[in-house]
Amino acid sequence: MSDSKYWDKFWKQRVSRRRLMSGTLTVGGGLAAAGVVGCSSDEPGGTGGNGDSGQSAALQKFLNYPDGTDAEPLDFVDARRPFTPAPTDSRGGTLTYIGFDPVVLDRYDPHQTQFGPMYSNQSAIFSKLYMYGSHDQPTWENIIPDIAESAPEMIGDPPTEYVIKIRRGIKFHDTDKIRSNFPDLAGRELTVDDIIFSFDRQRNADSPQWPYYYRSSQYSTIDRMEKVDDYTLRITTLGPVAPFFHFLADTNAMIIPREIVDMEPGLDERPWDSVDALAGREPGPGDRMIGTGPFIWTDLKFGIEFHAVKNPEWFGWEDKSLGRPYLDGYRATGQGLNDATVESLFSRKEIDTAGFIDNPSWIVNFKDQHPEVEFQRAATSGWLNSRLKVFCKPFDDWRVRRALHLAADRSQVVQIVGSGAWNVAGPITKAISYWALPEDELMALPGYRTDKAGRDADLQEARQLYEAAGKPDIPQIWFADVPDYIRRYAPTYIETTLKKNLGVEEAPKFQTVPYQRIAEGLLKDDCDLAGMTWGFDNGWIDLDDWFYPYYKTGGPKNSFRVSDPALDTLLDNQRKEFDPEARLQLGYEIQRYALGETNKEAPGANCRIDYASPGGGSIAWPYVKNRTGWPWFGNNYWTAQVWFDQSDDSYQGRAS
Amino acid sequence: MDDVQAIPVEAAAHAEPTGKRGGVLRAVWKFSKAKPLGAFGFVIIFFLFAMTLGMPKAEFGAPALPDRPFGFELGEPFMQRYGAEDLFVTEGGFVAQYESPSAEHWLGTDKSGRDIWARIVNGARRSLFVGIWALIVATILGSGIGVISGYFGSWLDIIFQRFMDALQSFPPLIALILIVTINPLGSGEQASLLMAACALGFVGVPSVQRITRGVVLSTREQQYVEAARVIGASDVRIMWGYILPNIMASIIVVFSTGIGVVILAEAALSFIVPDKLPTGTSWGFMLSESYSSLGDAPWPGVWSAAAISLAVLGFNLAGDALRDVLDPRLRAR
Amino acid sequence: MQQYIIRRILLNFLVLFLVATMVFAALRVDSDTVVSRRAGICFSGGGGADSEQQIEDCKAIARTELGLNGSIPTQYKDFLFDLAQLDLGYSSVGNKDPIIDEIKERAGPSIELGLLQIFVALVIALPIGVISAVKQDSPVDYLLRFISILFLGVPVFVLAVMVILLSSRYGEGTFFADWFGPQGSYSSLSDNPFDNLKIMFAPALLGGLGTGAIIMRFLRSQMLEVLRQDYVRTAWAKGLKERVVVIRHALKNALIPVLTIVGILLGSIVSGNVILEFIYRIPGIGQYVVFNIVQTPNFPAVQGVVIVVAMVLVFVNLIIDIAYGWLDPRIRYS
Repeated sequence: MSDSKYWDKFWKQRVSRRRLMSGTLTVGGGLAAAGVVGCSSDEPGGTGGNGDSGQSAALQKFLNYPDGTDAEPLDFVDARRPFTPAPTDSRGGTLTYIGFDPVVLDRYDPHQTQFGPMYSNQSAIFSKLYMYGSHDQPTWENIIPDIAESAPEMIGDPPTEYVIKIRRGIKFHDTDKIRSNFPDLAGRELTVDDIIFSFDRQRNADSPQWPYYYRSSQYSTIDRMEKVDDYTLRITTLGPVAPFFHFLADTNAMIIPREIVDMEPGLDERPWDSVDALAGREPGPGDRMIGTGPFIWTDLKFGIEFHAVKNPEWFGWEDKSLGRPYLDGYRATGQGLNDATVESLFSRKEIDTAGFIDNPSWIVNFKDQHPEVEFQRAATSGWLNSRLKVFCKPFDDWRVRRALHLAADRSQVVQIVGSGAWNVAGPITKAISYWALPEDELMALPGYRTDKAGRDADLQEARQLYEAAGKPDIPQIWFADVPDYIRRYAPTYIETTLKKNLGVEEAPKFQTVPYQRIAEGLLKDDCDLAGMTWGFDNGWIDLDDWFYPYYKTGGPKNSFRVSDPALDTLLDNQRKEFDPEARLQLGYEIQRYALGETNKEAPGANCRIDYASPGGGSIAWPYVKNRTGWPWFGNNYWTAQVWFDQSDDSYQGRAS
Repeated sequence: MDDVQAIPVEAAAHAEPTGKRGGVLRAVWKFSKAKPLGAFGFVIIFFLFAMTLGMPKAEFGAPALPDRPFGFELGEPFMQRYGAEDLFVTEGGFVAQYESPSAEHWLGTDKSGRDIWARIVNGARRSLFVGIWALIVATILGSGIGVISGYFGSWLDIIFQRFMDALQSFPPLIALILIVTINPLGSGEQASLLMAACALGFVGVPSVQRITRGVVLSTREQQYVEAARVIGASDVRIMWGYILPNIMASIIVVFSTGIGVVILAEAALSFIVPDKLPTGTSWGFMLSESYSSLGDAPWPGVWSAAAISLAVLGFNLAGDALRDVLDPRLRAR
Repeated sequence: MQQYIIRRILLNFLVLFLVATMVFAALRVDSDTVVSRRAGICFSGGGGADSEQQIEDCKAIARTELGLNGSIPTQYKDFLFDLAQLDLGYSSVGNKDPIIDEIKERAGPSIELGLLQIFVALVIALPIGVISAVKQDSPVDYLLRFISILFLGVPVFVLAVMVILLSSRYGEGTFFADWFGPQGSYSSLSDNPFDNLKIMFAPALLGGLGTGAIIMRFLRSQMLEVLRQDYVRTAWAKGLKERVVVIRHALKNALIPVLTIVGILLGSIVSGNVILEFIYRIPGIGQYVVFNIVQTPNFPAVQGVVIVVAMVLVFVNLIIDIAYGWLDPRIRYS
């Protein structure tokens, strides 16, 4: 065969080279083998210790700073406390910082977006009826007027009717661009009609966009709205709703003008009904961001920059003569996020404030070298959790859920994901310290306690429960793809919590999944989709938000499909309880119930496993005055009070 | 993973006076003397392979690597001191984060208290796995298409060439990101490692095709091919028996340089879109992970950067030397 | 020649048609997943999408926004028809601007960076390649070759990460941090040329080193070949100065094939710098397309960028080939 001959010849010609290769391979391999000697005494193990050794000095220092959750807030802007107005010669300038602000993962519509940074941007553009004046105790007493003139007049006992008077002369943004796009809207006065429109669209179940309305469950408690006159509104609720006043101040409660909504026919000739206009319909969603807030939307370049400029005609809350907003605008950039970049930019004053991304130690070190910079530590209400589909095997067995809850190594999450600067999270996170279960109580509960004896007992119980349930396989776990620390922690979670603590034999499969797909999976009956998820949740303010949508039978966020009559009763009771102290106690009771401390076999117990929440920290050059810092998203309107002290020494050398 | 450990391998190769292997050693010596840089490249490659030999069969929880990556069982661990996911804690019960190099942890530990050396070694296996599979895909498809289009010419050649032009007009990194994001074979699932490797190979098809086609075009006109055609050899036989052996040298060269390119691309891909690739241990992941904490703890990043660079360098050097030895024609290309 | 150019142009359009078809097909292989993924945010909204009708609405909205209404053949026909009119459609996310405007906005920084890199590469590679060839096998040659190989081996993004680390961690307040560190917000060449240059400096240099290494190696082997040619020997024999022989006679001819590489580099401006754009915070087109594939699937944007890039690539290649024939009289196209 001539064919094979050619092959023979080929190999013969090159045989010397082949031998050469195999020879080197033997030698190389042998030497490599000889290089590996010695073994280790440092055996792999589990965490759980609570000693002080092992933490870096910088971290210790960081943790010793008071955070915003303490009784005396550090230097948050608290509307109840006096703030320093800017002298007339120290106004202007553009605040620059690095943040997630330019990232939009879903939509532009203020009532549809569920992405925290997005509704934070919008909170500076659009006003609400009311807003929180203090982050410290998110209760009724601390809700202050924004568009409204004063607190609502509440009629009935318990109240079911709210009469709200709004300020006169509130004007929508007015620029050349707005004037050419929306000639009738530019500079138009805001009236009660706009408010009715904003709430009505969120409770209109006939709209094709209905499921998009993020907080529609809140506004579905409205029975009817009446326009008494242009500046007076009467709202009647469906029965007593204790958190209703909060709903008017919540993060998506922004008031938008009718004109910016694309009402042209979209699906099956129904109105499209979204600020996210259909592609090709001018103007685009960004050009529809027209509100009455202190800043005017200028530009959002996806992933690169968000830029807003001052609204000179802003109504200025209770005192227009103060001349707020003091700044010319603010600019948030968000690229190449790493601590080294942020530090370098901050030290060159290219950015005015900076937070840490991965590890707080650079901030602490920076503060050591430059004692004049202002440090602020603030926990965030968002948190990491796992959701279990309670109707799926093996999570229908309370023993498996409780075993997962007890085996979870929360201090490990805090150390690895949060570089030790995060907080362990209960059903309500530490940032909302008013509603959260007292830390002393939480940290003594099974699954949370860290003393050696308690932790060992928890681990032992977890194993026993898991074995008693028949050591079922854990279905595929979906880890969220953003923020990326979730994906990075995934292998460690599988290795330590499941394999080591729980003794799972068959390696559970897991994958990284975009959060939109997780949302889709959570909705499906299919147990293969999102049977167990591991992700980040925005966090909420009022007790009701933390529980009612999640745990109430048929609730909009009840992806567990839990239906627990006892829990339902508790949830309904807190909605009817107007007495703050009694409601707080109900809140504690609900949290204990969700943790399985009331009845560990209850269907509503341990369907969500809470791990940890971010404990942020940031620094600013001292020339930045009245800096804001809030534990929940959606407070960028406070930037209206920020100003640059140009007489401060640190202002020298600031990049333009 | 550094030069200090790699260089003595060569020294050992010269020193060992085994009579039986004398011929081999002489060849090695000759090669090393003629192409010192190439020999250095080979040392790096062999070191990489040696590192991967002792991997555990599968990383726990990570569906990344098959048990028998190239059809044969892997041996007992010998370069591996710990598993890639083993978590270490300090005496106080804290995660042993960012420990500096010591006798226990040669390169220290990373943020999650894992041994960096173990992760570098595991990453080597992933890189090689991806590199070799990608090149298998690229060379089989590329040389197949190259031989057919070069041999038959005319309209078939024109069509294939336009397709290759079209493929080459896709920016490679963009095409890769697109393929692993869409993951055409697994609806809704994250791309598997094999899928990523195939994507990397697929992107390399046009370059392999171009090189093979060039060689085929020149070989086709050789007298012995003409002769074979005259005596009535079929097209398949001519391609298999006369043309393919001629392009073997080019394929070997392409294979070795190509693996370096693929390792680089895989690292770049894991750096820029880590969430689209299957979890596991990858040098690119290590670099991207350490990127966010670069200021405080650069070492995991520095080590993975060194690993990526050294591997790419090794395959480049070896490929260059092979090209000079096997196929001087390719030099000008 | 004219005939050749016309034929090439026609073939280029065939290539572009194939590219358009491929990217169209690739995006639609699994578009159901993309649709339900996009609709995912809708599912988890406050309404909770508890009925089939609402789920269908969510999906219909997503499909409409992605431009996936209608059957695949209809979509394909519309797509090609729009493309023939140079209409790339509207973005399905963000401000929903026309894609062509978004590309125009993002292409500027990318092109600038790419050209600067090629400039740096040539400035570095030309002298080094020539010296290395003239002093073949001398220690200088070995050193230069080793350095070039080193830059071939160290991926540019690894280099960039390390430079960022060094400049921002250890170079505080120095020239190094100023010029090699990350910069605040981007300012374009027309806004502020100096700031813009500062932003581009490090990525241009780092990227240029990598490509410079390729060009240098290529140039060296070309030079070696040319230096052995008879006419160069004649020039030596005439007693011309070394500088004249090397530069006037040898380099001029060795440079012609280098053009090919420059052409390839021109074509890869977009994808070549994705990571550098990311690390150095440059709002370029590479970053744009990655965001639009990975974060929120934006079909029109991906299609648009791929087609525009392919168009630039094939026509740059054509120009290079024509230039080649013009510079090197031995090459005749027919």
